[in-house]
Amino acid sequence: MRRSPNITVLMCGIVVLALGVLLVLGAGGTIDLRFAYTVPVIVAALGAILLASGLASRRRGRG
Amino acid sequence: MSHSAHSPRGGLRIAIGAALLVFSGLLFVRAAGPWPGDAIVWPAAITVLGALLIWRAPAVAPRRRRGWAAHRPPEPALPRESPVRMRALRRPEVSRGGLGVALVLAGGFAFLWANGALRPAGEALLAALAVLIAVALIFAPSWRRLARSLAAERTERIRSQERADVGAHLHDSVLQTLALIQQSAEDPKQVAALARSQERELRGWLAGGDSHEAGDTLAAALDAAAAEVEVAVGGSVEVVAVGDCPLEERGGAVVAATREAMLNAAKFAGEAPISVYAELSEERIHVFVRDRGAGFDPEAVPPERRGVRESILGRMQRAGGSATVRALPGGGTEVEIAIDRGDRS
Repeated sequence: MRRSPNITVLMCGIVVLALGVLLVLGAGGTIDLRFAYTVPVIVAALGAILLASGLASRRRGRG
Repeated sequence: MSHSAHSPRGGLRIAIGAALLVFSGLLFVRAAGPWPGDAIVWPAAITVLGALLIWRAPAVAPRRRRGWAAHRPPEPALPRESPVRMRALRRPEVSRGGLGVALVLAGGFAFLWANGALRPAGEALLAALAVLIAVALIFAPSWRRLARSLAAERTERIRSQERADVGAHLHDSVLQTLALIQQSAEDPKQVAALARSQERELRGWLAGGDSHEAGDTLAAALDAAAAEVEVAVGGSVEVVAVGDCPLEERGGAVVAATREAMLNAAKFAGEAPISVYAELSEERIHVFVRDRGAGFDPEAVPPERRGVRESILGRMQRAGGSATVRALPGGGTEVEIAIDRGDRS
């Protein structure tokens, strides 16, 4: 039987990758990584993970 | 959080996740883009959140009980000092609509306060608040009495409706069957079949199975097939199903093969009871049909007899499953039917 990927874990990986890329760009001076810009990014990452987790849970519930 | 009918699976996480995404967007605009000001945006965001909660609040409706539970009298109220009552009171239900109203009011007040509009109107608001509290204190007991009497009247109406439902069901099923039994008193086989059919129907109703149409799910289809066999050939067929799954093409083949096995058992096992045991899951269907009759040798069946060979073994092979007929030690026959439900996506 085919196993579907765990969407929550997948989203966590994508979010960590995106944060890593942002940190690298910030360290290199390509983008301006101030506190006022970092906080929304972290909040958005948390929101994306929660959203993916909720959608995955609803999908499992539907069977 | 419990997954009740009013809070679907993952609903809270989806709501919080979406809210966090919107919040992060607002924070980003506040840091980078044109920003109308904290005194406008944050109260507006709180108000929108409250309005969403109010719009998405479920309508208050009594939870419908099913089967026998639908006609059980309500449980008596527990004494005030009962530990069970104390445990039950520790988890109050938060009304989504109430929370939404509070957020909308809070957003409005925050907007007025942040923009300095509350100061001139402060005294008038205070007076209005005092009048409101006084009115609430005066009329609260009568409102409470009115609400209680309305609730009692509603409960009584529901009870009388349930009594009428039970009475109608008893008349349509049990009383009609008893009348038929009286008419067929000289035919014991017919009486037994009627009694079995009524027992099966009543058991299904008590278990709350009346919401499914016969044949809607595999377990219901097996029950219906057993009832057909009892009516057609006589005898007694006991069906025990563990789990359930929707009836689709492969399930249909299993039902047809099981029906044929039950028919053979009812024809050749005499008065011995036939038992059907089914394990039904999303992945696999496994059914055993056993009888305690004289038994037979599957290899000795003449080629022109197609009942077992085609209707059970051949049908299951064509559907991608398997069927095995074996003689039981000490007499009797067992037919094992199995099929994988496979990838249904």
